[in-house]
Amino acid sequence: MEKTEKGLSRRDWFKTTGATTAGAGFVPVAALAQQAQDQARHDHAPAASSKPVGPYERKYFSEHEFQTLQALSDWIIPPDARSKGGKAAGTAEFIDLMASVDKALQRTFSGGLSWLDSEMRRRSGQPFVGTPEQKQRELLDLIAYRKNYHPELGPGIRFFALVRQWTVNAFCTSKMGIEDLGYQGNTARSDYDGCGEEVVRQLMERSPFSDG
Amino acid sequence: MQVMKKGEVFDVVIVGSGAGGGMAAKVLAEAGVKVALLEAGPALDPAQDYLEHAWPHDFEHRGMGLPGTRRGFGAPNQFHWSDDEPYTSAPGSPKFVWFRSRIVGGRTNHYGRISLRFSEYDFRGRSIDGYGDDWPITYDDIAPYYDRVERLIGVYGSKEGIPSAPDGIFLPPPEPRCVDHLIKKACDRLKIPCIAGRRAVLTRPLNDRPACHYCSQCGRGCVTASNFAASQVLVFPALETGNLTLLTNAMARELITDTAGHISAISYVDKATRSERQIRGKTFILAASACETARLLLNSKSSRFPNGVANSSAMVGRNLMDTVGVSVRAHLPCMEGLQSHNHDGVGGLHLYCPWWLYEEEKKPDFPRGYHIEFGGGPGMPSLGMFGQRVDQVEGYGESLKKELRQYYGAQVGFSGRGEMIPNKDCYCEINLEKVDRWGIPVLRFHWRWHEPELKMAHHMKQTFLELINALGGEVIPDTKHTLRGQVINPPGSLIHEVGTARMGNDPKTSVVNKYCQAHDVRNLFLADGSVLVTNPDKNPTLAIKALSWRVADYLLEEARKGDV
Repeated sequence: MEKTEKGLSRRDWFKTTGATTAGAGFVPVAALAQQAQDQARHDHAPAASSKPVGPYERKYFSEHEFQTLQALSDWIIPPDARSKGGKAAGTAEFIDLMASVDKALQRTFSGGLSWLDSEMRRRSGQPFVGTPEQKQRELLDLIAYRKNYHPELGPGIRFFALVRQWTVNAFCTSKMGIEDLGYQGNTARSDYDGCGEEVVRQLMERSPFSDG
Repeated sequence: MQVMKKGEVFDVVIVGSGAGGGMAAKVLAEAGVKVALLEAGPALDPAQDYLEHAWPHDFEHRGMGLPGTRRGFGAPNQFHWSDDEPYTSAPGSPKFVWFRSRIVGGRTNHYGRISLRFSEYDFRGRSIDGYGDDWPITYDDIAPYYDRVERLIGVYGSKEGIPSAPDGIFLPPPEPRCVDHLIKKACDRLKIPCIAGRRAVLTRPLNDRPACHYCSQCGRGCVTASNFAASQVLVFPALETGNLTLLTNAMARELITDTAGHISAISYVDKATRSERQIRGKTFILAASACETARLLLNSKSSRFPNGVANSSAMVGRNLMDTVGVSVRAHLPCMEGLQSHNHDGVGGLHLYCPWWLYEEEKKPDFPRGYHIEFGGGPGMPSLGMFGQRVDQVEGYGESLKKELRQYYGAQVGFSGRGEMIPNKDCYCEINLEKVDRWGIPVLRFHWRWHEPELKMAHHMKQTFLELINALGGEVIPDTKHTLRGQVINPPGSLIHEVGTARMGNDPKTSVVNKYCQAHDVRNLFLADGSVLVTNPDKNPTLAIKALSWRVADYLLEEARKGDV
């Protein structure tokens, strides 16, 4: 039987498994965690990201469609004191990227954006982008709720529900969105001490178990 | 790199590098045995391939698979599904979900690391309630191996003296998270025991592996090997002995038998070159996973073994069991807008509920039992996390943005994990009409849940609703289908499939003896979930490791006596 070609260096593996050679039991936990943290940082930085660098290049939507999508994203997630809005978080870019590889999404989004423009033209003679904010808001106030359902508004209500889902998803998984929500994990730490007495007290006071 | 000499005959050839195969490989290689290990997929390099500490926004697609692919956010997770390797479900059967992981370490790269010992009573179920069969071994036979496995891999937990949750050799458990404090209170109220979880994650350094650094991303691979994966904890150290030859991308096709009825070799496909090869050995251990092992046995037909190797009982592929699973999620208003804090912990159970109605007078209207797993709180935001809420509250703008902040992290989920009774309707067989890309006939799955599982699932659902009620929670709409009747998770989806080549004392009704040695073939052993006689609510991986170690010990002992 010929040589097997597996190309694996055992030594290299061991370098990466975090194995410390001697007396691991006597090394302070914090030092080990620090070592783990350094190692994770060093080893992961190049491997982790699959994202091309540089500004995003539009892949599917026309420039006008893309601008409309960006405008909608800031209506859905507006900038406020804690974070910038959907546009700055790149939600339209994410939708464009996903639509570029999904024909069904292309149809739905392009169809919905066209509907929005034609409805806006019918109301104010202009496409959605280019119409004064107050007019935009009036239309959104209609299509943002199922209770306003009317056969003629149906496509708009369905479309807006979809854009809202995609925009929220894209915002909440962006760096900005994750910070906005206050997620503090996914990081190496030396020890886990629970969620802290103060948080537990706060939680128990509001819970059905406040009486113990 | 290992070089195989032409015509080399290995002492032991093992198929599969997961919990069972990895364990046997380590024990045997460290004892000086020349071992060859076949793995159907590649080996990953933790430094290059693991995505621990990555973020959704590190990826263009934020963790969403592109259409037509199964790539997601997280290695080794993209190796979950093998599109190259189809299987079928019988007409009328619900689709069996068969999760394969073709990488060194197999599904231990992905699993929840839950490590529960079977109870003393789990080995004699038939004697107690008449369902299924008793095991040919007792708790005392497996207990020393549980001890050894726990000492080697590291399992956190607490000693409780509960019959449904035998104590082990434990590392200290992690502190409870917020949701754990809350759910413990609800359990106390309902008189359901709620104790420290038991998982193969290091809360202290052990055997040259550093302790967990609490990033909670276990599923993406742990660079520091602080959780258990067969690759890092078993196979890589076994390679260090110089006694183990690892063959990756080696897909086993058939066992080759000699004129005396022993296995002499395994033919396999080297995927890299798509060429057919053989590897010879004196003893063979199959640990390819319950269904893959059954497939290999059934596909190894010869005039001597017309129904497949080791199948004179016609039991290979039969008695297929998964775990009974029910999940319900809830929104808890009391957790809304809680002070921001790091809630990650060890990336899995900090607390859990062992089965509590095991005493004769308390038993409900179904046999056996289940345990409850739970979690929740402010975890890493991911695609889809807000889907239901957004459709529920509608609107847009400032109010929606505030709603997201309020809603985030205020959810909990309960999952029941219960024992299924083997039945004649659940099995896998060869589908001769369909082959995979290597030309190997695929499996066809048959499935029907029986009364005990349906009743258990109903009981789980009711229990979770009571817990959610005690917590003042609202059931999340996406789990309402669960409440409308499709209670049990799809078959196979709990990834606890076992029983397809069960052990027993009677060669007419079982495939292997109490040492997991084939009744029909002296030099063939099984060391995966296939040998389990029952599927207790304890998750099978720890038992697979313990039984595999026992197989390796038996082989070493027989070798000393000169019998194998």
